[in-house]
Amino acid sequence: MTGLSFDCQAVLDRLDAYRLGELTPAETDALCAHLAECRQCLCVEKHEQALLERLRATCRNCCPEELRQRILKQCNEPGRQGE
Amino acid sequence: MTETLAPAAFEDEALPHLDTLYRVALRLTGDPAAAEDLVQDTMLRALRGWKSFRPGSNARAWLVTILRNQFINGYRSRKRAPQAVDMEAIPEPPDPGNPDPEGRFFRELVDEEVLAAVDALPTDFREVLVLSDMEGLPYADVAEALGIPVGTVKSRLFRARRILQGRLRRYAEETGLLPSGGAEQ
Repeated sequence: MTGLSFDCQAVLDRLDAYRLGELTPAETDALCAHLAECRQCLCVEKHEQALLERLRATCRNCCPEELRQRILKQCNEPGRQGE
Repeated sequence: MTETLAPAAFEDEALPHLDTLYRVALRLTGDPAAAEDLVQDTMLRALRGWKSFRPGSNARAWLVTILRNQFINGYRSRKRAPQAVDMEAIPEPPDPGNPDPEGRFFRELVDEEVLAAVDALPTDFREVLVLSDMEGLPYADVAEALGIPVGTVKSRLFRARRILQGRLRRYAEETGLLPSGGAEQ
């Protein structure tokens, strides 16, 4: 038991760090304890997480092959670099 | 003395980031043809300025910086006017009393709807959201690429996500994915 506790603002400020695993164990415990009791913050966290997952799953356009080839050709043209 | 990279290193360092550059360009310009032009111009500029690249520093952030500068200097003025941000318009957070407290409706949206909402964000917010939440750049790299403090990245990201959530909720209500008026308090 660390005695550390977070209010709503402290939790919302740390949600990204929590997702990135950047919180200390004591901070993680305090944040999880708050989420277990605060439906408002839990709802915000769930919605943010759902949005982030949706954004990451959104179509991953690749650079068109024709453009890639044009750029490769550009790279190999004599005198291009540092001209 | 500044160390410089051998010419061949440009291809090894820069070309692996073409997909990221293209996606960022696509979201900034909103147009595939303009995105291709922007990426090609970016790579040409990067190639010309390769001697100024510091070995060991972050090539992706360096390239995104060039791309963004190119966009600001040319494409933005032609294609899209900067959008003012109405700070009062940022939606309230979701309420636990809403019918979808876990945000399941986000999964029901199709890519075109999500991308349209992203594209409608003001440029300052769109670029941090694209770089951080869609391309996975760390905050420090986003800050470096955009030339802003990490704290500004975080605050813009917070607002961008909140605006995006509000727009997607509204869209979900309009299309019947969510009960009307239920998700936004």
